[in-house]
Amino acid sequence: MRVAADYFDGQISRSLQVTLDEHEDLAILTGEIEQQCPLFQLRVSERLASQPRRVTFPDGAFLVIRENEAFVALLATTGHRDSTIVRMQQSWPATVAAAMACVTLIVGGHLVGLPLAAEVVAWAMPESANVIIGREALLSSINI
Amino acid sequence: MTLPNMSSTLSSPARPGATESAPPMPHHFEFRGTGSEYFRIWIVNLLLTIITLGVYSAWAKVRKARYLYGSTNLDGHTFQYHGNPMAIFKGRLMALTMIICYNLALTFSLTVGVVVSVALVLILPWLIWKSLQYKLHNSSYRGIRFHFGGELKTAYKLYRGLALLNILTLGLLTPLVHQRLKKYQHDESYFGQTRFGFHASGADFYARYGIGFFIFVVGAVAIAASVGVISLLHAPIEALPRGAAAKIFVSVIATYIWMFIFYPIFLTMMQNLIWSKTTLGDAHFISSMKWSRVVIITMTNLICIVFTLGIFIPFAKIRTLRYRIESLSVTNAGDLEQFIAAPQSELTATGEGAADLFGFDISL
Repeated sequence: MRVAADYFDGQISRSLQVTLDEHEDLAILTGEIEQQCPLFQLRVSERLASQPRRVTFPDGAFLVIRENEAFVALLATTGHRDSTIVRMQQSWPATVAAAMACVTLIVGGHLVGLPLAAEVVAWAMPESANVIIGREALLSSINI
Repeated sequence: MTLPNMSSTLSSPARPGATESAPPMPHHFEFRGTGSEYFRIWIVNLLLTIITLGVYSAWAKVRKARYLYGSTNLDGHTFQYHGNPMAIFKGRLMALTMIICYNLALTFSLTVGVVVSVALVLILPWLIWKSLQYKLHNSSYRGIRFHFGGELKTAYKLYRGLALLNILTLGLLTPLVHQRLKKYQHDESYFGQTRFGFHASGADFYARYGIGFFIFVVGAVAIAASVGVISLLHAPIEALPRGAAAKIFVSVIATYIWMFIFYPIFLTMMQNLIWSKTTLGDAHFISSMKWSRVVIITMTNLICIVFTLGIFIPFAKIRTLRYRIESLSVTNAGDLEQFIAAPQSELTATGEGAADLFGFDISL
């Protein structure tokens, strides 16, 4: 399976037209530059609906993929899997669940977590700190 | 006197030889990010940040920055953000430690408090300098990194010396300070080996600040006059104490609304000036934002954020960024394929992490 891409070497802003292929755990570039690289040395950018994928080589050179769908199919054959976070970011049901969880945590944190934290801090506060804060508060109220 | 010259320039295609050099086509910046996709990234990363009690925020920042940079297109290619979340996390941890030290010191002893405050004041220009370096070093386009070459001592001169002088002159130097800061930022920035330039003078800044001040005063006078006229028309209300309270209430609300209209007008003027006077080698930028659009975007964003209890924030960010970025173009840049990288070294993110926490906005 061959995928069209632009190759940038990281040294000059010129792009080279290449095609990417995979064979026996090697990424093979053909076109305006010919190159091979073991798959495990490559870094693949996260999946985003509105952006082309990038494949970065160990020397800083990278590919900008022209055909995202063909690339996803190629990735699948190499056993690459998106992380849970990336899959959540691309799924509306997961996003809605995350939004509800955020609201629950913020409201719950305010109603339950905050008083609990205040109690813990109050008990953990050394006596000396209590005395100093009390004295400072008293002094500042007298000054006013 | 300049008019005949101008017309002869405009009719230049008729002259022999003039057809050889066609006017350079501007490259327009494009923003392809969408509110819905950014929202999904935002909410998932917000959840992770809450669950991890803020630790994940560095990773969330990198993910969001990558999305925004990757959505910015110029001539069919996108920008790239290379920030390292671990470095940003360490920077934030250091900044947080400084803030905690500062607060604790103030609570327990005035002397220690003063010492820590002086240390913070002294370290701030260094933080800003590191932040500028980190931000540019971690941005690239077509595989070529940007970088910042400004000297640390200039940061101290500007952020301490000039800023102090500005306080002593009761803020009269504000436009000059602003100009010097932008000059420092833009003049000392590089794309690969190609240097940016900044050509706006102090006078340009004073002129814009003057116009801004004039617009603000006209608005404020108009508000005061209309409240006065309305209260005259409804004279009987004046007899009641409630009338005076209502007048103050209306004036305060009107002033707030005016501030929300005025601020985008001023920002539009400044962004147009700053970018239209910025060059990169032989290329120069043009920013053509319209204040009316910015006011509409800002006001509708604000209303939507309030009525959706904050859910609209990521959509608002995308709308604002899209307009700002798409108002920008670059001319005389050639084919954009001839820029050469500069030798690079890795930087730590202390500055950026700290500048983030202290709430500076140094991106404009």
